[in-house]
Amino acid sequence: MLSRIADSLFWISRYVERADGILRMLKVNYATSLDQSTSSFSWRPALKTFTSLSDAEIEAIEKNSQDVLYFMIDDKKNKNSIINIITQSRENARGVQDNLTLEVWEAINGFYHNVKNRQNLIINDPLSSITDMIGDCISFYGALEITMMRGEGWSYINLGKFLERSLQTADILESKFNELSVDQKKAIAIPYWRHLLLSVSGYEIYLRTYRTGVQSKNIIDLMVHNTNYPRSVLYSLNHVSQIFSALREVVQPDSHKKIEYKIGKVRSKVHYSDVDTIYRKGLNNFLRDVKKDLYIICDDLQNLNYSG
Amino acid sequence: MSTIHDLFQQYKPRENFWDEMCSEAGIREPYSVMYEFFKNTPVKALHEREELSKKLFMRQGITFTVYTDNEGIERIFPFDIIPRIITAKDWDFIGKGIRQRLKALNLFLKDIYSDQQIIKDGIIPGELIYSCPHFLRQVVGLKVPFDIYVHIAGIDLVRDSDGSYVVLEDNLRTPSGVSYMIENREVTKRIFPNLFPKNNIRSVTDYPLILHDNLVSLSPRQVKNPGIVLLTPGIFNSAYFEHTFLARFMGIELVEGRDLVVENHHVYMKTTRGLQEVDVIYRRVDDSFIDPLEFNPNSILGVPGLMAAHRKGNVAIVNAIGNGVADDKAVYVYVPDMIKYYMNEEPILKNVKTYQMADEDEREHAFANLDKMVIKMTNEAGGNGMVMGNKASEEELEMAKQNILKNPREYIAQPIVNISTSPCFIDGKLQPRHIDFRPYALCGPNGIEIIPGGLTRTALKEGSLVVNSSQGGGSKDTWVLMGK
Repeated sequence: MLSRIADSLFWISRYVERADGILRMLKVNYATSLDQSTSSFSWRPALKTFTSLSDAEIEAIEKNSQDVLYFMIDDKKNKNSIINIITQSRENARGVQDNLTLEVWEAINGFYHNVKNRQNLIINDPLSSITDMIGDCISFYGALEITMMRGEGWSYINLGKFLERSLQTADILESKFNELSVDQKKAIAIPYWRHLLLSVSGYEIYLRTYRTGVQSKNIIDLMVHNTNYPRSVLYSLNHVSQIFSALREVVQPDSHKKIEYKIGKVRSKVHYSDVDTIYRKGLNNFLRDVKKDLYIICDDLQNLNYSG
Repeated sequence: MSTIHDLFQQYKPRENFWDEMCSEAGIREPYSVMYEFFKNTPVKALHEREELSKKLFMRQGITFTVYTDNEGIERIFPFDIIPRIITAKDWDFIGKGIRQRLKALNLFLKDIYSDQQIIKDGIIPGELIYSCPHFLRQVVGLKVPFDIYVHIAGIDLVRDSDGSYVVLEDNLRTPSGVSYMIENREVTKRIFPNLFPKNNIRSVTDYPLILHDNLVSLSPRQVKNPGIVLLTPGIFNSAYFEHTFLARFMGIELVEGRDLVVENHHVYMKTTRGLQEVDVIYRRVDDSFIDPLEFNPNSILGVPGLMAAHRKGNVAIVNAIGNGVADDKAVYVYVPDMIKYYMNEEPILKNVKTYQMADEDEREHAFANLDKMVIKMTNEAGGNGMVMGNKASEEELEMAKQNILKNPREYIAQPIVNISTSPCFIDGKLQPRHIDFRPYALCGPNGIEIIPGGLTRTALKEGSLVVNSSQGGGSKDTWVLMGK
């Protein structure tokens, strides 16, 4: 496979995964904002996780759902707005569309046109629009799963997806914990976490899995270690590791060995950590460390080409 | 409620032009099946079908981008939902004519890049060839596999007012539009599914497979899986959709110049597992950009060293480099002579009468009748530099004359052909619009195959004779019927 194409495939799904994460977060936050009086609900944590806005900029819009939704979905000035992300994903797909099945290409192209041509979001019921877009992400994943040949291309697509997901989960967890003081972390009960769990599709799994114990520790266990939960860091890393190992036959041996080592290292770091230690040493330090490793792996994968 | 029956009744072809559907006696026989099928359908249904066709093109990304205010707006190429029909008898005639023409043109290209016997025998003046910018000295003496130069041709045909087919251009370099031939058919199947079984329409879907087989046969290495690639200028090229389409349906790699590298006169592509050898390149990059070492040194679309590898016979290039000399509109004049000279046959398809502006007598004649002429530049395509004598103002004609006198070799003049019309569904009515026809021919070691179908391009403006897509033309599905 051409190196240029491998890189594009990696980014197509990385962008869709990012869009999916943002949309789920927007959906839950928006629904929550309708529940609460406007004075108490704030978009601050969400904006901190998914944008690079300054504190002052966040303060200007944090209480205004309309502004936030516009900024997160339609604003071309926001590098991570849905319209920009999906345009990027689709441009990558357009450049390599003969390496995607027609159905996958049509799914991402259709997604792009839906985002671009959608009528005013606020007037026309934001929840329905967001749900439709989440549906477009699901269609894309469905088309991938059902139609794509299991080969090199499929592997790069999935590496992008799972690396992005592990980074996103780490981000969300980090920003949610940063809001709380140490005492709060111990005391706080499920209702506080429900919001977080819903926005990462983890609420039902959480209720089924954790009956007792310190809630905040359970949250860390779910989002970092629980391999039955498809958005946990470890679940994603297990997939990254497995997919990359399978590329042994087709990637240059030296590069493969180097990257496989790095993936194995960060995977072990997560796997053999336990919640109490993380808790004691500080969640932030742990997550930042993991994220740094993951960014290096992303870079290596993008440079995984013939250099001659 | 108005029905399609009413639309057919109200259809008024233009006088003095051949109309594909209607003669003075009424609807021509091949179109009657379509009429019978449609006649009780409400017009509203046609509108719905038209909307569906637009959605299908959009969803598949068969679009081009128009940039205004730094924002790209995607458009589909205008598609007319009423198919154009060609009878088995007409097709048979067209096919014979194209085969004959392509054989002669291939022999001409071989000759002109080797012995140049046709010049020595005084059939074509040498100065005409040597003054053509597309006659490339870099490929003189270069042997190509099976002596095939024109692997893919998209000959443009039009019908004169008596219904006879005339060749307008040969398009022997990288003719585009074949993806529209296939996609127009796919969309028509979707919008009129029940129409197909009744009409005995020949299939166009085999094109990519035939082309693929031909490409495989050109491989210099006798290996099971030769490296075959389609070389595209990239995502910003207006035909990029077609490049991905063809790569997908041939199952070959779509590459850009930067994906390829030449080492020791062999061409390789840069892959995740290292370098892989490339044996055959179907290139959609123009001659002048293909290798910066031998042609335009500023080109970043090509591959440095490609020509040297080609010359060593290590890589085959489709279509051959240098074909442009036979596309020159002043050389076109001599195609009937080529047919007589190389094949000792009478030409089956007619040329349009063409006046060479470099010839004083012909130029005087053309200048005296400029209002009935179209002026074309000999080495431009896509309607660039074209002046329609019947539409141009006095000043424009005067300007054209001045330009011609400055560089007479770069211009030809032709009497304006009264090209035929076909009914198009526009503004809720059937209206006649002028059309041309581009069938696609593939030449391989086993002979010439012409895909039964082609691209019918339509002028969108009433009365306009210009059908080029770059000048705002559209297209429609083209049915070639099976013989009885």
